[in-house]
Amino acid sequence: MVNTKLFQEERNFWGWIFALPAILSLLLFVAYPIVFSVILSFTDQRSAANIQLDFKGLQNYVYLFTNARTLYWPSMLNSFLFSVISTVIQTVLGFFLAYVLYNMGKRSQAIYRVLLYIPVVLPSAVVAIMWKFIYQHDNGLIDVILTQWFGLENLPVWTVTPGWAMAAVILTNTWRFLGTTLILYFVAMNAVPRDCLEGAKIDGANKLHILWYFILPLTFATTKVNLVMSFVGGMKSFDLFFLLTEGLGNTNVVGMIIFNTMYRQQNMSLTVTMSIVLSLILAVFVYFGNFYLKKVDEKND
Amino acid sequence: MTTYQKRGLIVGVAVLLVLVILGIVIFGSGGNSDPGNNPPDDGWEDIDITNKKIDINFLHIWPEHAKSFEQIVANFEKNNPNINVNIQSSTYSSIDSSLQGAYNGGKVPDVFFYWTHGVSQWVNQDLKLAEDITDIYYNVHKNEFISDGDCFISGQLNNRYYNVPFRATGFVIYYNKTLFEEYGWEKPNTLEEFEALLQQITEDSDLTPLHLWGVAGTFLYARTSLIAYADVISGRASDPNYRTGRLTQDDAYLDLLAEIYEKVRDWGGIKKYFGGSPLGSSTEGAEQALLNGECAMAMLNNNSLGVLQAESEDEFGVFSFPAPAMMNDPSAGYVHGGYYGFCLSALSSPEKKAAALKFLEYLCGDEAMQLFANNEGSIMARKSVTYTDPLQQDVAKSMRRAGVMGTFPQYKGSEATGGIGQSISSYCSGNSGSLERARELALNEYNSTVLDVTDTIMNPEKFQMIEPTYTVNQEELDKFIAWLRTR
Amino acid sequence: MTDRVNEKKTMDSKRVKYIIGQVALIVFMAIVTLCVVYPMLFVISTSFKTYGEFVKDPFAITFNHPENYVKAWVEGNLGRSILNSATVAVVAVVCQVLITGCCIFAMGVLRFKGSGLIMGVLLFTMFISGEMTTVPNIILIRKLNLYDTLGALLFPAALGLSAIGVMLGDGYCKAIPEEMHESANLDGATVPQMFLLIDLPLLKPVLTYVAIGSFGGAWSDFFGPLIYLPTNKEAHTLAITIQQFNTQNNSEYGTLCAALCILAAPVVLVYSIFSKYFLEGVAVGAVKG
Repeated sequence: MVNTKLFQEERNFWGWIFALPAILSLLLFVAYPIVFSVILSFTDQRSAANIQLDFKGLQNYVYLFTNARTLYWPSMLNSFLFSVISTVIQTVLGFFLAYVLYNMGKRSQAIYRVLLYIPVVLPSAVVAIMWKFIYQHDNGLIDVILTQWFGLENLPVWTVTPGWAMAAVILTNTWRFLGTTLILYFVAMNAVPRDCLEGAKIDGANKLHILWYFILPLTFATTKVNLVMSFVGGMKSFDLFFLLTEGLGNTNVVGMIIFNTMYRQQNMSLTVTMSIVLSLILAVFVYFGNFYLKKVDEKND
Repeated sequence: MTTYQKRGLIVGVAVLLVLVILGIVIFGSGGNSDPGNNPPDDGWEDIDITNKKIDINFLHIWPEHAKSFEQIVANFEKNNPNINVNIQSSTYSSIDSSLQGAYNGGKVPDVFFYWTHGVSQWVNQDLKLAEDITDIYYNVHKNEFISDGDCFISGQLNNRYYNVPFRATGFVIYYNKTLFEEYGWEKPNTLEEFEALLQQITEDSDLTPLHLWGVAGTFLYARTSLIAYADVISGRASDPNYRTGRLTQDDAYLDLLAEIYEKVRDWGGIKKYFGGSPLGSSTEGAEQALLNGECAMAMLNNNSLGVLQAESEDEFGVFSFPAPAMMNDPSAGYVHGGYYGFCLSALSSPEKKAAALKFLEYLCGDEAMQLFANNEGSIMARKSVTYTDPLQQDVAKSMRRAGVMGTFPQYKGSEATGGIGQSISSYCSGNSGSLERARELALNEYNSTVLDVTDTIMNPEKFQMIEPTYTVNQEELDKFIAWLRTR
Repeated sequence: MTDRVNEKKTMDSKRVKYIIGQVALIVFMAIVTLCVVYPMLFVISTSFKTYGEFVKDPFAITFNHPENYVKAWVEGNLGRSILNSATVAVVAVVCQVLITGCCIFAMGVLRFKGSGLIMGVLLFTMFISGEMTTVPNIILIRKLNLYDTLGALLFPAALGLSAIGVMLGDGYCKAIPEEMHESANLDGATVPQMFLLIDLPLLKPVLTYVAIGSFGGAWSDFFGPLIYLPTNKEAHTLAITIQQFNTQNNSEYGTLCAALCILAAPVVLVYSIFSKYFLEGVAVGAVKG
């Protein structure tokens, strides 16, 4: 029999060698930036050009928490709203569509799977420009349809009017990421063991019962992961807002504020402080979200 | 020690050594690539570079005019064979992040574009990107420019100059001459005639009288024009600190602003002189509306001249936003804008600076400007440039006051103040409101501005609000307010 | 007799219900797919029109002006951008697959001592916002003298690690039986040989997922060039060229849509061809992990 201690040592040795590039990557692109950012947040550094670390203590944090004119917290609220609505719509719709797909024939499944996932792989520039074009005032697809086929007039400007602008971005975001939730749920549903379902059918359960009592709980793991990741992604989301509305119409989200602080206010330490506070908030959410969802999971079992 | 432990030790030590060496190599030599760490010495402009081969970088934001720039560079390189100019281009919307990024990376172009009236943000305490050209260019050449160098004024900072104006940019009103003749309308010479014209157009036809666009576009300029006129009439514009935009605003001034906002709302929200939804439109929308004959006039950047002439058979005319009759010379109206210009990088090595200065002199000289005017239909900043196209001449005439009226604030504004500005635009395009509400908005914006100016995190230069020292020309101002109230 | 007739009737009505159900599902799915796919079709159809034709009839399906594509290519100088994008994408895919593969092997199969730590750090990267790493990265790239060159994009691409890939791969490794490695060890194989001959082939689905993800990420990224390539137009990738193309040519819908199609086509193609592997990777990794 193999000398297990030796084998373990061998594994450790090789493990470190194989993981070396990954560790290097993490050091350079994760550890170093985080450490440096934390250090920067305690200084007063304007640009990234001349790094002089003149420490000013908690100045930036105090500014962030007491000064409302950076619009940091209102934008956090916007982000939150966007995240929650997006996640809910995507999850519900994704689940529903996955279920429909689940019940269809193999050939249709193959076709729809590919088609519905294509928006996800499209570059964000393409998605944004495409939808900007669709939302355009008077010339865009939506306005043309509404005025020519439905005869409506005096339509609001979709990407500028408060309220409509957020709805527009949510629609675009949902259109884009519907595919991910769809695929995740579809895969999870397929993993539910068939014999379990057969047994239930024989026992007389109809489709609705199966859905509610079997499929929903058994795919909960996916729901858990999906909810958390969607929410976090939504909070950090920035490129759609940058390209589609540029923060007008009350769509200032945290990402935009951070970007503006970096490029318009030209205040690097404040930017970094904002990012750190955002990350901490997200970490808290993820932790509590996981905790709560685990409890629901245990209840299900 | 087992074989693996031995091996592990060797590998670990090797990796550590490599990292340390890399670290020293990378961060050790970093001192030189940090921008701003090497303030170049004085007297660089006298360096003799005739025999040295130098590469300089030149940044502009007009890919659509790339050919003209290539020609200019080619001409320059012919006369200065030892200097090689490398052309880089950015775009209108990303020039700020390009320059910021270049600064961060230590690669600021030796000659770069920036708006004359906006150059102050690159010359503040912490960031000194643009070289002081007062002695080496302004004092030498100012009389060769329009209005004997008035066009430099918007880029002035503490009586020093940092940017040479190249091409005028401003918002003027293009009108469809063919349509005007058809309906018997006349080009207005004063603000009062302009208002009458707007009313007449709505009565005679279905056309939009004046197409404005955008929350932060020409729709904003309708307000700033009236404010600029009020300031000239009341004497505020003659206050020595007027241009800083940091004069305190007392109750009387806020009342005046409220009247102005109400007037604009009357025009835009109630009488719909500016079309159905000005906020949502864009430059292209405005150009298309004018070309399609959907509107009688449109406020566009003067550089839209090329588009208008290329794509339509109608004849177009131009004038600037007219001034009230009571002002001297009302025919040269307010033009929101200033000049596109070029700066020298303050961070280049002395030799590159000397070469860059030579290139700048050629780029902003008579020959290059004339070439540009001929090819691109632009209005240039030098007196000597002649325009063959009659419409171009008209545009040049109407832009005489570009960059001369109005304030050019140097402090940074917060997101909150920007938001209030947007809500004022929304207010002016709606049809519900009151004088009290307008006053409230003006007060909010003022209070927010005061907070911005004194915010040392946003503006580490420690600006202050300044008490005005002018005496109000009450009689004239009352006449203007009376006009504002006719709505 | 009546029993049988009744039975047949209920059988019939059940079948009818089943068929109606299936048809309803198909119709519903078709409508949804149409809503999802229509914007893309609209863009494709517009790319063959001029602006004038578009204004006259936005919904017509004509193919009159394929020269829009040529126009977009030439005006936007897309050839060079595509070359840049392709370079970055290829480097990204190759290097990231290698690094991630090695990492999965080290963590999932070998389970060496640092596995827990690395997993913790990877989870941690999930909620770090991108802007936190921008300033330090700018400084790093500047010190390496790669700023404003294509290297600024190549360097992070070459050293990138796909966090999701590692997590999926970790789950995947649980499905690889331990006995295979032990028997290989008995046969005298060294660990690298085991990696190459046993695990790499088995990890193919996950690695395909990582490859497609890296390709998509590298091809579509416009934020990187925005920050690291401020003045060097020669090194711009396709995504940011098209984004700037858009701001200069806002009303030339035909050429704009043609440019969008050119940008989107490679990614869509790659995904369509490899979708089977892609789903396999997600399936085993996500469900088990």
